[in-house]
Amino acid sequence: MTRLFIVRHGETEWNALGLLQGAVDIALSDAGRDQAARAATALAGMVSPDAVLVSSPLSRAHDTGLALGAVLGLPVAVDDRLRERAYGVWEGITPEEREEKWPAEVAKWHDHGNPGIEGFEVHELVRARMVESIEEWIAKSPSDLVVFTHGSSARIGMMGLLGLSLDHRTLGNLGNTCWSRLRKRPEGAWTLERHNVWVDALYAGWHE
Amino acid sequence: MLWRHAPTPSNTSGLIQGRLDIELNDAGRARAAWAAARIVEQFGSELRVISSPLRRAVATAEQLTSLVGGAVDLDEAFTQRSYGAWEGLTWDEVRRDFPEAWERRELGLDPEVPGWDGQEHVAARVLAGLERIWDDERPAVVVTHGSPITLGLLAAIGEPASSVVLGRVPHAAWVTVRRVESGAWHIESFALGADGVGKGS
Repeated sequence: MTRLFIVRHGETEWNALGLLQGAVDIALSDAGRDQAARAATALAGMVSPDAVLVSSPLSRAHDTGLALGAVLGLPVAVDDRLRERAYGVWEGITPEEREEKWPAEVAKWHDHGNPGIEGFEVHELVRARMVESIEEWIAKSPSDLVVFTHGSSARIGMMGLLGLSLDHRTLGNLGNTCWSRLRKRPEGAWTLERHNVWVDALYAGWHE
Repeated sequence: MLWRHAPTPSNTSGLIQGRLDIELNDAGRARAAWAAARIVEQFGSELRVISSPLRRAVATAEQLTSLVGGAVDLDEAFTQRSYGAWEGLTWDEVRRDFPEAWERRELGLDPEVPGWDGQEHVAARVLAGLERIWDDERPAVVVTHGSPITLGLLAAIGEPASSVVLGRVPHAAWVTVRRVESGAWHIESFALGADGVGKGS
């Protein structure tokens, strides 16, 4: 059985300001680079030495992946289908501006619907490309697959693999450099084994 | 937060416990103490601590109240399912002596075993308990068992008890869930505390 690790990128300046990034390519901040290095150390002790690493083309995810690739001495492939959902006209604006100009659309979005604003990539399209990409990569992975992606694309991709309805936010968003682990069963169904694992919790000194 | 009790000597030897009331040993208490410290780091110390009445769960919960104060509230909604006639046997013995029932259990179905607590019943009992204790203002830590966690969560997210979407939560690991305004439950994290550095690496 093959394991999938799905990892969200480290922090950026826009994350710290609470701005939606979507398709905009924002680099990791210094704090984000530090998070990526610590996550890489933790993940290197868990994933198999012949793991396949693949990333969204956006630099915040790719650089998070390269940190693990450097520790393991493995390349990081890029797949455009793992990019973040485009938020269209909401990218780069403050939550206050969003609430003020689009109150009805924001309410619909908070209720897990598609807000219908210009340039917003709907849930169904994000799910289709994420599931297609991950299923393709897992078929090519001899053991573990590690995917570096984004908050919304990771959540919707996992819900797609697990066959969960998008009517509810059944899985919460991953924090920066947090990860989940899923297993593909021989008959093809997926099982969630970890969600939102928090790197600091691992380092707190459990010794058996 | 749903926290699975720390392992007992019976867990280690593969004995089916169910309603049998097995106490933690020193290793189990140490494991619970480690997890309790991580839980306080993550959630702070303003916590309500609720537990299954079985000793392995209460002893796990006591490691947390020793850090945050207060008493452990016992709640039958979170007790382990009864395994009926299988309690006290090992899984190897069950496989040998009850091959058909064992097969059903492997397929995620209820085996025909006298005294067995059915999946739907366990799922409904745990979900009703979660709904009753939920409070937007005050986080609660519920110490419970493997089957009640899986079955209760599946019911909370509207999945059938036979679903394979959720894996088994290891001993002393925890899950965080939140109930939102619509009444839906969100799984915010799953099986934290299962991969401590130094354990298995």
